[in-house]
Amino acid sequence: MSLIVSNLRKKYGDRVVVDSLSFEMPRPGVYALLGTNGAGKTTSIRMILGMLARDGGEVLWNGGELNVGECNVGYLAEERGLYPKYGLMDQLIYFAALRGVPKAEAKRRIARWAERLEVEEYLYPEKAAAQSSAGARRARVKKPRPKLADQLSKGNQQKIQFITALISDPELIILDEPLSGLDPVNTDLFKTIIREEIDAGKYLIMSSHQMATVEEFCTDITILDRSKAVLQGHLSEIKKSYGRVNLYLKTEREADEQIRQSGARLLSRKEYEYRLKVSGEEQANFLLGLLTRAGVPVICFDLREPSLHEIFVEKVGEVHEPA
Amino acid sequence: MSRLKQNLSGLGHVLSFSFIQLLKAKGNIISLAVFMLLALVSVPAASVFSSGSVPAPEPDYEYAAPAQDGEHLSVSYSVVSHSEHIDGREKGADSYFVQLVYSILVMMVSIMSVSYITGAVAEEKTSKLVELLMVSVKPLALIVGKILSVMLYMLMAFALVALCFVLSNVLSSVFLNSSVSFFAGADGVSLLKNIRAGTVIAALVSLLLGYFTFAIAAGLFGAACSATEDVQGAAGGCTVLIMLAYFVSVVAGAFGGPMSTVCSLVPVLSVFCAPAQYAVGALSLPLLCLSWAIQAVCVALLALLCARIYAGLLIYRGGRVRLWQMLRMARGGGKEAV
Repeated sequence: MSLIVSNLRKKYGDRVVVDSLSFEMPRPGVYALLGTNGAGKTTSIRMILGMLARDGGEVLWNGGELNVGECNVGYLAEERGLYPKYGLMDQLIYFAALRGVPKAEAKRRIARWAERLEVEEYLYPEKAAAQSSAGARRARVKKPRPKLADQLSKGNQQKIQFITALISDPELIILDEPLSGLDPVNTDLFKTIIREEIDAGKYLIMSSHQMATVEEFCTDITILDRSKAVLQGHLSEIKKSYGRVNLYLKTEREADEQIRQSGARLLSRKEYEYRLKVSGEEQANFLLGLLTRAGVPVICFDLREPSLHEIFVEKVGEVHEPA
Repeated sequence: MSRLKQNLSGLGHVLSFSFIQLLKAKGNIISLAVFMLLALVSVPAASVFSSGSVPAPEPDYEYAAPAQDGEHLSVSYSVVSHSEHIDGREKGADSYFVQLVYSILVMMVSIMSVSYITGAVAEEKTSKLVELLMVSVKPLALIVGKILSVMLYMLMAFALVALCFVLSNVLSSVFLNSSVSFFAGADGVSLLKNIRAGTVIAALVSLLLGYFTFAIAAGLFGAACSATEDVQGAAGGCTVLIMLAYFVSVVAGAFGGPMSTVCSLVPVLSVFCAPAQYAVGALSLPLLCLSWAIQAVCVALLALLCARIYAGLLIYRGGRVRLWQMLRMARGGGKEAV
């Protein structure tokens, strides 16, 4: 299987919102679509899913035009929602039916996901009530009512939406800001599930502003800025191309003089902890030599490639800099 | 054909889900129960309040010439109805009454349907569900599913209310010997028996065409809303149109003549006027068919507009889209930004 997005274009009037976006996923993995707000990420996703008419380009899945009616797609939209006044179970069964999952199978899958995502008490209130003795007494008197979506916290609503995205066991999963608004515990829970989906050989497209998350999961990226792809490729190769230029230095006493002499650029400083930008390994080694010769005790000397966050800021900043 | 099939894929699920949720909605259960109760008590209540207060119509006596040739002198008389006696004036009143009753019925069905559809479409949009739905089902299936589910619900609700009304009539005529009953009047004439099958068909076809006109418009106006506060305004636009058509039709019914004929041919107004005018004999069958044809073209054009811009409207976010903006979108094949 493979996903090929080729030359996608979209215009609203005279305004180009996606300009010739192309990328490829020849094998399962995670592809990240990154970009500033309004760069065209969500529009691109909508065009990939066929929700929005394209002005040009094509999206191929296994060599043929991607048809969401035939390809098993799971989608977690950036703007998430549920029917506020309908029963949660009804909604999940409905979404499963729309994706072709029979009712009995849908119920089995919902039960599994409910347990996994710790939302059983909202989907099976009678079961939850039976587990607590006071609740069981109440349940005998009056059957507990199933919860409605608007009675759930934002995080729990997000879990239900995550179930709707994964209920059909999709082969292509598109997650638009999957971790936004989650607390650290639920973030870890979602991350574990995403990792499992990757291990199961799924194709994932992820859009996020959380660069650390993207770095954690994604193998390939596209950075969009004002409708155009400004950087594309394999993440580790992109990083390698930047070289090891980030230096974290921790000493036992002041090292300002040596840093100045080495020509390294000081980014930030907290007591004897320094974040520096060097031109490469040569300059870093030169600084280490200066420190050793000056007898400055070095506790930590960590030379790294730039983070995705830095690459993003640099790339987008470059584009935004006045000529 | 296969494209249409693809566009309508998932329609069954949308229809059944929407219909079940309409049935489950607490507000709907309560309002339906109230309507059914009102229908059940309407005839007995009318009977109780009107007993003794409404004088029975006095029969007019006609003197028959005495028999000739030694036959027994006899006086024969025939009972003629009050309306026959003052035929010209009463015919106009009948026309007005039929137009009024039918227009009220159409107005109720239309306003309730518009409110349901606008609300349902806007709910999906304002709840930010549309994108999730559109991965699995095409916009056409979404709107058609909603329109059909509301139609089914309204049909069911009216059937239940009508059943209660019939039950109320039967029980009143049996137990209260009510003169108010529509089944057993004082003269034993059943009003319901006088309704011709053709009139019922005319009313149903017109009602159906009218329903689709208002439902598609409601779907479009609902999709034009991005926020909950826009919904009332959107439904209000449709309601004003319906009310306007209602008033014009009632006035046309009162005046009759060419005005009612013209109104029977104008789209939207014809939903209210055509079957009522046909029922009172003011509109011929060919003109009724012409009225249906015009109305059908109107529905087709609205459906075409809907098909062109509905998907674009659904994913549009921002202020409420105005009619001229919709038309501009349609000109751009639904691709234009609002």
